[in-house]
Amino acid sequence: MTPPAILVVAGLRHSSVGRVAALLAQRDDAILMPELNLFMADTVGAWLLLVERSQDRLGHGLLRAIAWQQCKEESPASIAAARDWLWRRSDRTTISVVHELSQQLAPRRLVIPDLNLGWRPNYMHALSEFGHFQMLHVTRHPVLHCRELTQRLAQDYFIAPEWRDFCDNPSGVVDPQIAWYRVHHSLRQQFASTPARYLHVRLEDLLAGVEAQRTHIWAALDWPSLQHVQRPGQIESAFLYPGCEAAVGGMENEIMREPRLIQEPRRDPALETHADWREDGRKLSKEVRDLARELGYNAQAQV
Amino acid sequence: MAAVAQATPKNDHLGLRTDDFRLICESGFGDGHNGYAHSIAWFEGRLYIGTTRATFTMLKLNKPRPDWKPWPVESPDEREAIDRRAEIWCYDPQTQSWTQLFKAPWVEGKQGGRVPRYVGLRGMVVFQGASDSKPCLYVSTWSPISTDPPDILRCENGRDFIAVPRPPWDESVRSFRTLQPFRGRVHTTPTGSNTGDGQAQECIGSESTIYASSDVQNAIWEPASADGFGDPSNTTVFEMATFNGQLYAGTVNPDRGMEVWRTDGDCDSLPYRWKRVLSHGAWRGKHNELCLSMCEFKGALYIGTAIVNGGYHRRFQIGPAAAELLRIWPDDSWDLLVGHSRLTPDGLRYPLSGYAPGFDNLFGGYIWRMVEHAGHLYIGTYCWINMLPYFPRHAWPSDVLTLLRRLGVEELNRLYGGCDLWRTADGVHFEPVTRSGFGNKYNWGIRNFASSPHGLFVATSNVFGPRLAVERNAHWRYEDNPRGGLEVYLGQRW
Repeated sequence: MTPPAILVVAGLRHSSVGRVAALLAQRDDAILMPELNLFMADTVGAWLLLVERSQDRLGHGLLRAIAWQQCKEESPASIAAARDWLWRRSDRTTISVVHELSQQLAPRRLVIPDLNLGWRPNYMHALSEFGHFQMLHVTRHPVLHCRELTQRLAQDYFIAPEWRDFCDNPSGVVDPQIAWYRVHHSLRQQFASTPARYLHVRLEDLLAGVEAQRTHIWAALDWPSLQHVQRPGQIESAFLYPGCEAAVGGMENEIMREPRLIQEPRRDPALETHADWREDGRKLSKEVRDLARELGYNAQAQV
Repeated sequence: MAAVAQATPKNDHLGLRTDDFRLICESGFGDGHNGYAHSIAWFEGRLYIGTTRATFTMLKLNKPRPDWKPWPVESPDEREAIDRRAEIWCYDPQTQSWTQLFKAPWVEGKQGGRVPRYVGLRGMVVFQGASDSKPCLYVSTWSPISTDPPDILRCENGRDFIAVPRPPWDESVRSFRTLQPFRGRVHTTPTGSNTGDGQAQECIGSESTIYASSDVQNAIWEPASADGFGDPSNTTVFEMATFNGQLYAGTVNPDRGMEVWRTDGDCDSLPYRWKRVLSHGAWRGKHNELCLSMCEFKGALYIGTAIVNGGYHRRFQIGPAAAELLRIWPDDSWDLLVGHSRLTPDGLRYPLSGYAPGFDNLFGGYIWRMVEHAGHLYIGTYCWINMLPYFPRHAWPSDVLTLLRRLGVEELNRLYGGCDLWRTADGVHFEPVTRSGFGNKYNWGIRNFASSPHGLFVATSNVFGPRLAVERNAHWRYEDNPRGGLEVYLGQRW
């Protein structure tokens, strides 16, 4: 039996990517995965090496997913068994693991949040090689998103290299509009030319009408309509909460604190406004403003 | 009896992989003092390599001497205790054999005694000047301070190398590197200087003028640019290349970061009119101090950057930092391919490949050499990680210290030791060919390439011979290092 195409929900951190994935997976024929980060390496062996060397929790999501799949529970023992399961596949491609999980969980489709895909062409290329996928690209208004990123990054103990500013302020973090542009521009370039598998959604639109927008997205993805669906407020998945001590992560911390999308009216600031997280008071860069317009954000404020 | 080489490889266009390379020269042609394959050329069906020898011995006698303990390679305190005479070797793919064709002569030193006329051969080019009856091989040289400034070597018959007069530079010029043909002239510029005993700088020239000649044999040289393009902070013009019918030149600029200039050469008399294309180290500043390598590939000019002295410019205290890869388009716009994201006056730039400087390697001090071969761009790096055991650590950046605390020197060396060779078909997607110096961590750099009908030749820099300082039971001692000395690989995909 051919499993349904996986859905990758891609975006930048602090844009509710995990919440959107959970919302869309809230149906009997889908299953929410944690952040698997499998496309960051070609082989399982290389992936294991990568997560072992990383100071981040890159590997927790996949270990938890495999522990659930193999042992139906999360515990230090099942996480260790998941690691062994991966080691036995060291010489296989990471794509083959996605295939295997997809087969094992069929007919349910995997819904996978991914915050790293847009950072590197190699990651996106790996997903393209996998082939049997749909992509939901989630964006936030750059001004609102960058404000939050600045605030969050200032609180983080560990700053990943991609977020560090090695040019203007080596002790600080990079201007978040660079990350915003890099990830969204890359995702657009790689996937938007294939509309059959690519869908873009503005988080602000989703928040303005969560239930209606969810139905709209399911339809746009060409998923079968359902007789009965759960209300968005009833989201449940073990991966929306911290795992056991052997693999705590798998989702952004803020999502583990509050996994639901909270409806709110859309209030976009103007794109020409000052980038107020910058001390020099400059505006957003032209590239960011142009891409924001391309993504459907208006130059004028919406209040 | 040597075997006869097979015909042209048929599948190089698919991209060469690690297993497609075989070692055809090891241990510096049997002499570990041959540490640099400093120049290379494909000439009349054979491969030519010029060496630079015993660089750590030279460095040990420089002032100020690097604070390395112990000295990594056994080096005498007397400069001439080691034979530093540079060599030229030739590889014949038909017989798969090497022949030494040239060894620099001994000459009378200015303070008496014998000294090598040349200690290094930093560049080669095939060029036919006005008085040449056919294309000849020209070689740029490196001379010690105790003898005359460096000459150019000329070879017409593939065997004999004769010195022809140098451009009109002064006594402080000690080496030059690039010999770049363009519009019937060859262009060069000083890249190494010495202003007194122990004051050698192999990457900083004492002048930064480009000289041009349409008749190298007769030494008719004229300035083709103003000194430093009119800016004294451009201390050296380090690299040149042709692209889009123009001559491009990249500088060393320790004040603001490297610059790239171009000229269409469309004027009757020298000097040319030049236009600046890049400045401020492509807005990274001093961490792109040096434009080290250039290569035209699929409609763009690829630029590899560096900091002088392997990623840390001791004299100017720049770095350490890893290198970036950029590309310039014919309309002077540019892309960042490998490096740090930044907002620049030219717009927002992020690394299109996704890789941070040094291809994600903090120790990748140079993007050293590039070449196009069978539709792919090959990029060689320099990695200084195997110097860690000998370095003082007080000045290291926090990233390096963090890595060191987590992994330790031995593990870092095991994981990252040796240079990288990467290939790309589009400048965005990169595949590693090797990330370990072809399995020899002492290959700290890919120093030269030659694309040929027989495949891709890759020559390394490996200064860890012939005897290396090794720690045994908390004591250091010098031991023979059979993997020290430059290596040459031939890549062919059948």
